[in-house]
Amino acid sequence: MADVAIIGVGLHPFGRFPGRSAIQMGAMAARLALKDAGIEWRDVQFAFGGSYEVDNPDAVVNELGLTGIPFTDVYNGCATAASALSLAARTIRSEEFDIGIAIGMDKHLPGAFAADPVEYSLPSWYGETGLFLTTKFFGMKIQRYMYDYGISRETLAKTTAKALRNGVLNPNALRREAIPEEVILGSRMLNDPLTQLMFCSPDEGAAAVIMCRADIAHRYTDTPIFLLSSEVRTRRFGSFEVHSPSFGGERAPAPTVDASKVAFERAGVQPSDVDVVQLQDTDAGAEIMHMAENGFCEDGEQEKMIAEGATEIGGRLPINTDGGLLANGEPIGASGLRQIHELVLQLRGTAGERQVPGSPRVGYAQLYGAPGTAGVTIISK
Amino acid sequence: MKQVLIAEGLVSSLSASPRLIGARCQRCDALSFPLLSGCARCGSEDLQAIELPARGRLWTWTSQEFLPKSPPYTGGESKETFKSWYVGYVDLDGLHVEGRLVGFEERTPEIGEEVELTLIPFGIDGNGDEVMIYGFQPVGLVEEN
Repeated sequence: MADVAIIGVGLHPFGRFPGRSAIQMGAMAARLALKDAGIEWRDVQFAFGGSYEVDNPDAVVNELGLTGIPFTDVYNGCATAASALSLAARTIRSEEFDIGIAIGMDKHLPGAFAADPVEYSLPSWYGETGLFLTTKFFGMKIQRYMYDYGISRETLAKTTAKALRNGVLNPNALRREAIPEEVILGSRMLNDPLTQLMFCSPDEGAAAVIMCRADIAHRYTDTPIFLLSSEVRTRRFGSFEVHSPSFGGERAPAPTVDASKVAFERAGVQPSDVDVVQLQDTDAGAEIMHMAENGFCEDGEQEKMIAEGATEIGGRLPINTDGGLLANGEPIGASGLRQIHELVLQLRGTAGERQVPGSPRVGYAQLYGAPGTAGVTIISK
Repeated sequence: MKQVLIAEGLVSSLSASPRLIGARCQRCDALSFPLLSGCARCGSEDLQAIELPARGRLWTWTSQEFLPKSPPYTGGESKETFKSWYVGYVDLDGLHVEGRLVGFEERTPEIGEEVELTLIPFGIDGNGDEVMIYGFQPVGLVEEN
């Protein structure tokens, strides 16, 4: 079994780009990653591509070069990028190939996602009656969590404001304007307790990560970042998940808890070893709950931690230093690779204005999405 | 006007005391809703349709304050006529079932309060019949009115 190193990352800005296709953005992200790694497309031996809107992300080879490599497309909801990354890492670990790329790209229309509930193993009436919506799930999950653990609405606003402040420092972000907490609380209510500004927006963008066998990484870079683990898990019976007409029995842990446990175990590190974190913040409540689901605090501790600034760039547990989904939006196929891009910059010490102080060593990324899929990746220098 | 349910097999009857139709797994005893081809817990196909309890406690809730996209939504409102509603999960004998919440014009729902199943007019279908969906309302609402 070979160890895996990340030697190149590339990111096409997240936002709205009329006239530019998702594939073109994917090609641009791939070229940036190739340049970062100091290699050419012909050096890449395999690829995994992730997208929601694009049927064949592998068509990006039309613009990068038709070299005949195996190129596998994956789609796994909001955990698509984690799946592409995890499969690419496993391909290297198995020693089938030495060097490969994971590319994610998407171009969504504004507004909430729409789909056919029947394709989610749900009855038609679930959609017809207005229940087939992701946002109200997030509203209901944080509503119960606030009741159980005493999280306040102000903490939701603080989390959003922190993301937007970090977005100001990130030239690649969709939203780059700091907004006061009272404006966030007073924006249009969408799904109580979540206001419009507390939700991320589906948008456009692409990202790419190049990996190789760790023992040859020195050929390409002086600062290899090692991929310690990358794990995907789905929901168990009894966990409360998006798009569920019912959930039964004893409450089971969320898929994030399962993915996180196995990722820590395989990486051989503990939550206390992690220096910089990326969490799925589809909404402000999700970031808060995911802090506990990933083992970074006990349920309810978030209220005090966030009041003390623990999750700020200069805090003891910096979370979503590039603004997360709240500032970057969510092009589904690319979102998880954006997280890795940011963590790699942080571990290299090249994150500029938003650099976490103290030379961070271990980075952690988590994705969560419909219909109850989570991915966790741990990297270190 | 004739009333019809939005889907067959969803609710026991259009009577004043309707019940949701769920399933009990004959292998592992798990409850589920709605009836699928296999048990969500153990995968067994040996499922028995049962009537779920009419009453339970509200486990969580939120408001739906924007018009859902059509399709799949068939509510028929426009952005101008849309009125927000509440939705929640109700603990029915350990099975948490999602549905609209009605009867909360004066106050917000409260986690832990007792609610009961009811049928709600949803719109008129192509045959001129009134389509009914299920939801939950505070216990005692009907008597008080």
